[in-house]
Amino acid sequence: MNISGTQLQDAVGGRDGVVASRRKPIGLWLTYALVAACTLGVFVSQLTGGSAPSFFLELILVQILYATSVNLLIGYSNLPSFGQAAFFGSGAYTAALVAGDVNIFFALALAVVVSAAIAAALGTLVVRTSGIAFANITLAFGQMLYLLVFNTKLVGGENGIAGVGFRPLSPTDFWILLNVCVVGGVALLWWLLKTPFGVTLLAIRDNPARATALGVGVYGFRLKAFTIAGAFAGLAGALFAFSIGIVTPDLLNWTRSGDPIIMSVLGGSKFFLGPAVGAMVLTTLVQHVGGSSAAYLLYVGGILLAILIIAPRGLLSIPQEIRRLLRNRREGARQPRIEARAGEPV
Amino acid sequence: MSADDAALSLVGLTKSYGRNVVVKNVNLSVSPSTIAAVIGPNGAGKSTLFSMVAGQIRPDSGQVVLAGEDITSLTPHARARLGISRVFQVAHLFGSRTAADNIRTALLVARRRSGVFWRRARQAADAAEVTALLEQVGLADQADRVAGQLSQGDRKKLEIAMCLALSPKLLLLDEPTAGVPPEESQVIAALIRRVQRESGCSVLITEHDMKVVFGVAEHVTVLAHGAIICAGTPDEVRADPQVKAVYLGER
Repeated sequence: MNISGTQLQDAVGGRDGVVASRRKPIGLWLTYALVAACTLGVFVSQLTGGSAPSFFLELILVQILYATSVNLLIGYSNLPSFGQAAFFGSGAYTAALVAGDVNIFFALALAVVVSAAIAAALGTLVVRTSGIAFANITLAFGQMLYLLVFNTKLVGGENGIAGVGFRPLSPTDFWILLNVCVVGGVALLWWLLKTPFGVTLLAIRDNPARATALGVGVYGFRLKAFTIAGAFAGLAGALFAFSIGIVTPDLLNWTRSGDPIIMSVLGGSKFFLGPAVGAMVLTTLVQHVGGSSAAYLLYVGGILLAILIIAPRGLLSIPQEIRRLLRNRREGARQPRIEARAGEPV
Repeated sequence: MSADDAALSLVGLTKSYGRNVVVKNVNLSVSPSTIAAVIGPNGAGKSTLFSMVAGQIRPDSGQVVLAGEDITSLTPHARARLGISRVFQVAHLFGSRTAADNIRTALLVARRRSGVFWRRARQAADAAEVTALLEQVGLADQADRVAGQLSQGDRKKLEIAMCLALSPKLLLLDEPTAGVPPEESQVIAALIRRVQRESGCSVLITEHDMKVVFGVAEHVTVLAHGAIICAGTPDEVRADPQVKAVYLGER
């Protein structure tokens, strides 16, 4: 395994490491600032402009929370879940089912509890595996839940549940609540990775055998990570239900599990804000590229492919890619170009 | 010495894969605060024996007894909590984290703080302790380097320091000098002796490098084809004709 220092720092950029914190690339800070500015700008314009918050902006926020929660598993736990839609959908359906009877705060709380409980129950089975096997088994369970909901008349069957309202809030109040939930949720996940719990999760990702030999109960940690990710996916799902006003079984379908994975990879799954950036970009692309053409996904796919060829480690790695290119060009004048890409961190 | 006095005793340990018996009825005990070694040619069953002590492999029959307590049925992490620390043949580290992060993680586990989610990891672990452990193995100047970048020798030292963070009762060293350049082997051998003296733990070691084994171990057990053919002090083992024939003679 030949891993150069800069590549490793790149790979672990945006985390709490001695080296990383000291030499965090300026490009990453710029990206963070840009993300913060966008969020703030949208927020302020919503408050001052007086126009009703658009569904598109709400969708972006929901996707940011969803993708960030999924990346806790993909990027930080080596648990590439392909079934997170099960928890996104559970949250959405819970919210939709109780929305008529209770206020939105209680509905959101209940959605979190229900999705966490389902994640914990499923987790006891699935976190015994990791890597590809984990991807397969989560996909299978996710589709089982999808078919269950699809065929259950009690929760609306294939028609779902319409008319999910966010009583007693006004649209602007809901927009504020959405922001608080998303920013708060992302901040909580960020904090989690700085704590001993998060550090131990990273340790397990790097070397489960070493962690076990130190006395870490790997199973317990993975189960907790899976439950936490499920809870936040559920929160995102519930917010989505209130935002769009209707829930349908396709919220639990595998394509919805795939979205946050694409977003994480697009933004950079080794960067904490990678999934958030990916969520913004992908949601915008899907919304605006191709216009009314039925083939819009073809264009979106082409753009994604191009981005990932240029920056295989995601959009947030582009500043580092550029510096690497410049460095190579400088050194290339003196010595032959060798192993510039050797030893991609695993 | 009865089994209860020993830091570790293995009683009739046997493991086979299909018809191939890898470890055959091995009885072995490690006295408290001593360094014992298991040697043998490739395929003698040393690593399997080690994995049965650390818990990665379950024996078909026999018992693993740690300080009088039967731990045969315990998982590796439960054994680690009882005081067994293992250094792997190929160093197992948290490769994307710095040396200091690696030690910090081990300390957090040792202090039962790895599940804490309301404090920063840096505040939950004692920085002085991290530095002290790095100094103990001579890695203080490498604290901020990413573990995956360290030299083979330094990787082994870091792994030993992580094990020491757990204040182990029994330190298992599986070929601590494997893959390490000869001049660094002696450094690691000296480190093992010093670490044992300072911590007072018992050490069980497997090793290919005879210079290291006879320089470090107070008691040597020789395995061949999964069975013990000789056990005693380094001098006794060196003088044993069977050992010469089976193992030392081959070199």
